Amino acid sequence: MSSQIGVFELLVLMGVSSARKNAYGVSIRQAVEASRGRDVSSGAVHTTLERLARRGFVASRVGEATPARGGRPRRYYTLTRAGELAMRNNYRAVQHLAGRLAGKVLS
Amino acid sequence: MTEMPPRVAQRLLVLLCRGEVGRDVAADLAEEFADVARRHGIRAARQWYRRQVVRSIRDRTFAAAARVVGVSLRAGVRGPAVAVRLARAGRDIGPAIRSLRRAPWYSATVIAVVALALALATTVFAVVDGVLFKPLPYADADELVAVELGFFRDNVYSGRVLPEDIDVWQAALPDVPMSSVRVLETTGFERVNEPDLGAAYVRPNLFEVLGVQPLLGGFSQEDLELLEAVRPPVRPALVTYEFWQSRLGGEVAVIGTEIEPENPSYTPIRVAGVLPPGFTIPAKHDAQFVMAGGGHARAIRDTTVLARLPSGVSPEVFRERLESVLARAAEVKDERGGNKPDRALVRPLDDALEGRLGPVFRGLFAAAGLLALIACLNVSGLMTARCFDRARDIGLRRAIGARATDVIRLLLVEHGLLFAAGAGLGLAASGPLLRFMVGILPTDLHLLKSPEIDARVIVFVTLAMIASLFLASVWPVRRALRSGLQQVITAGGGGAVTPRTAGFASRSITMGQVAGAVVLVVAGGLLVGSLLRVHANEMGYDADRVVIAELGVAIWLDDEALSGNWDAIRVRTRERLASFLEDLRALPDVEAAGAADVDVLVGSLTYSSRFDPVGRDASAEHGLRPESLMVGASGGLNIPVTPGFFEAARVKVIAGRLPTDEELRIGAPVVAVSRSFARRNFEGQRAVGQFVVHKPARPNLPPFEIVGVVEDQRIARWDAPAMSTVFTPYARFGGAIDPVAFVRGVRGGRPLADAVLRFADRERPTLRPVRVQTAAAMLGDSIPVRRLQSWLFGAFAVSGLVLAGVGLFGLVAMTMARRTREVGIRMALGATRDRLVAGLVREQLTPVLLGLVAGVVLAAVLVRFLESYLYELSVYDARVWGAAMTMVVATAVMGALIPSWRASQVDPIRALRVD
Repeated sequence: MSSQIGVFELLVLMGVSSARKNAYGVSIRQAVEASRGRDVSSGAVHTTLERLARRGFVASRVGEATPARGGRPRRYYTLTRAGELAMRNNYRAVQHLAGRLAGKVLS
Repeated sequence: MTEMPPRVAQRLLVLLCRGEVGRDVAADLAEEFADVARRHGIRAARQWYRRQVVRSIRDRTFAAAARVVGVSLRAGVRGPAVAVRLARAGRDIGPAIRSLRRAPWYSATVIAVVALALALATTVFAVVDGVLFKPLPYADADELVAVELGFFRDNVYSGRVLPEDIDVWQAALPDVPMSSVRVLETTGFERVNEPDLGAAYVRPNLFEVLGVQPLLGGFSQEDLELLEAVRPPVRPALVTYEFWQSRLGGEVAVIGTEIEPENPSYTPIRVAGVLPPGFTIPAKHDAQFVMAGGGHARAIRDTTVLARLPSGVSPEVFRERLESVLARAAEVKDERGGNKPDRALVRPLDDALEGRLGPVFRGLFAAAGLLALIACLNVSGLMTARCFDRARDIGLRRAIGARATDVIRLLLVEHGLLFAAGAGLGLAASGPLLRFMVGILPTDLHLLKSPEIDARVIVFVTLAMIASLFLASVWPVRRALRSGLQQVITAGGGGAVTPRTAGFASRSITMGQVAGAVVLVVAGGLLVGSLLRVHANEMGYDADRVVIAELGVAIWLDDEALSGNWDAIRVRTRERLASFLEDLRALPDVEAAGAADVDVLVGSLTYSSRFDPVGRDASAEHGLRPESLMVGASGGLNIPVTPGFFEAARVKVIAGRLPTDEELRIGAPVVAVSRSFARRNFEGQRAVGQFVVHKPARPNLPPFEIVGVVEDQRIARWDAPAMSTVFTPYARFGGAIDPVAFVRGVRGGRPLADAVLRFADRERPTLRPVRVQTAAAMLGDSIPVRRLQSWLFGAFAVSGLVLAGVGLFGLVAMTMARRTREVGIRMALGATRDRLVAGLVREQLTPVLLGLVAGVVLAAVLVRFLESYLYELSVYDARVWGAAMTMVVATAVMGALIPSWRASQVDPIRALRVD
């Protein structure tokens, strides 16, 4: 399976990773929003999480239900081994590309 | 109390974001809403919630669309080369959408322009396709030809075909099946204010020739014999499917039954069968009834003779064979002493039936094409300008290995998305637009093919969209391919080194748009100008607050003895009308009411008789002084009027006085004549006090004294020439034709028309309303083609102007955005705002002026085709041309001025900091 992911998917994976045990929709969205510096929709985050889960990069479990959520339980996400690998590889690729471009432009 | 998220947004989310993910999104947003409300207040939280819902729905929808495309593309990667290309294009959809979202104004403008142009083009095509291009709804319609027959004498064409003539030709040419259709417009079955239903008299073999069979029933031998009778008690007829559904309830049981006409003077109809759905009669007028045989329509003038040519026989060969038959037949003396036709004109049936609106629709189609071209240039300009802005992005892509084809694909996908969105919107808008356009088509227009948004139209829109997409993309793509690493560096270095405009491409686009706009605005201006000229016409009476009621009189229904006794009928009609008008005047809100024996504003003219000034030769006979009489006189239309008519119609008096109500009531020998009548017959003399005589002369009828001269009347149509008329007492001449009542109300308008209609409806059956409308509505309805042209071409002119303005605005705005830094430098170096704006606008003036010149040259050639549609207006009318050019230049200058002015308002320090 290809481990290539898009920039937004990378940010979501990083969001899951940074929230550790409290990684659910709201916290991941806030983490992605903080790293991007602009609004991110909950729909985009959940769609991406669904896609990442399908590709085996994240796993989910159902947590506790709260009245604030209208009685619906939270869904917590964790990175799988494949997800962690994909996140690292893609992060390195981005760093490498940015370095190369910066060199080209400045020269 | 716990604050709740906005309910509508919540419901929308549940409705549009379904499944597990949708529920998770809803729960997350609900939880976060409470948190945002606590931190920023309920108002901000609600706003935040709504924004989240809209974006979540959008992102979910895009993701779903991308998934569908992705699945099909993944399958296609293993397929042929086209599928591989499509797969690559599919992968560009996501980046393209993101890129467009970053430029909302650009995207919205392009989508709006494409939508506007395609909506108009689709609507016009749907109608034009129905009139001009779609095959006629008959089997192998291309084999059908129309034959016009007649003879030429002194270069004047005249023709008359009798049913037996066709029998002779058919016998001589047995291999070419021939038939004929003649439509009588009024059938007597029309309800109040309903257009003519039409009855077609056809040869019994028509259906065979057309290759069409009735849906139900058909003519029996007995029916055919009955239809040949001179005055049959009932006429068997096939009715159209639409009439059967709307008036007869679509019941099979009605076949064989008789239906009574609304107008009791007409013969009842026996429903012999029903024609198939969508069937229309191959004639210039529509018909709801089809009757086989000659019937009472023997004196055939407006007959369509049609034939089905067998394979191998061209229209030209058929014409030659037919003319040789005509030559032989002409040798036989016509029993009526009439001329037999000796010439034939053979044309494809489709061409022959196009009628008077064919050229109008061709012009419309051309205008729609021109508008689409302006839109293309417009969009092309915007896209080219955007490519400048994206030079850095595209250069970056090229720098990291993107090939030219990758860039082209990315741009085409981006443009394709915008065009698809525009086409979708345009198509959605074209439905209501088409309904509106069909609504303003003349009611008597016989559309052989129904205008609708069908598969043909969709295919046309798709092809037009693809063609315009490629046309609009040529320049931007060429521009984009020049972007390389250089742009990555220079674009960052500041706008001062960026070319001012897209050079030749940009100037050509501006020129093309301005030229197209000039052509559309001049054409629209001339037609709208013509309509305004018609509106300014002096009617000779005051139409304000007036309702006109066409009445049908059938007083013999009360008294069988009257039947056929015309003198007695006239006298009884006058009495009946007098009592009707008296009761009408008693209605609340009615100020005055009178009637006249003349058809008003119905397009054609029916009148009773004429009046002539007394000739020199007849002066002694009438005991008049010869010097008061004129030689070489020209007559006037006799309009008998009842008391109250002059008050209701407010006919304008120029000299003398109007006949009084009392004179009109007793039938005193006095008349009022129109200005034309007075001028033609009594030039240089005073008309009042002169005498006129009725023509044809009747015994015991004295000469009538002219007591007054009134303004000329426009009777048949709003744009009809002013008539030479003579107003006579109804008590003497009235009752010969169905009268028209003029009712003036305190307020007028639709309520008065309804009140008059309700009142007249109670007078049945001896007197019934045929058409009751406000005079203003009838004025408009009397010039349907002119109105249609003016509305449509006017709309095209405005759209062309808007598109050209928006195009230039967009182009200049985007150019200015790139030149912010340059503007800053100029201002820092001391340029004043005024000079800066003037300089920026001046840069656009050259292409605008060149476009204006090109447009004027093009328009000067094209407007000649409009000549026959103009009303008292030259195609080179200086006012219209001047106004059109002023409008185009003003729009172009505004389009350039606003963004230039905005650009000049920037703070020089901030402008210099722009990267």
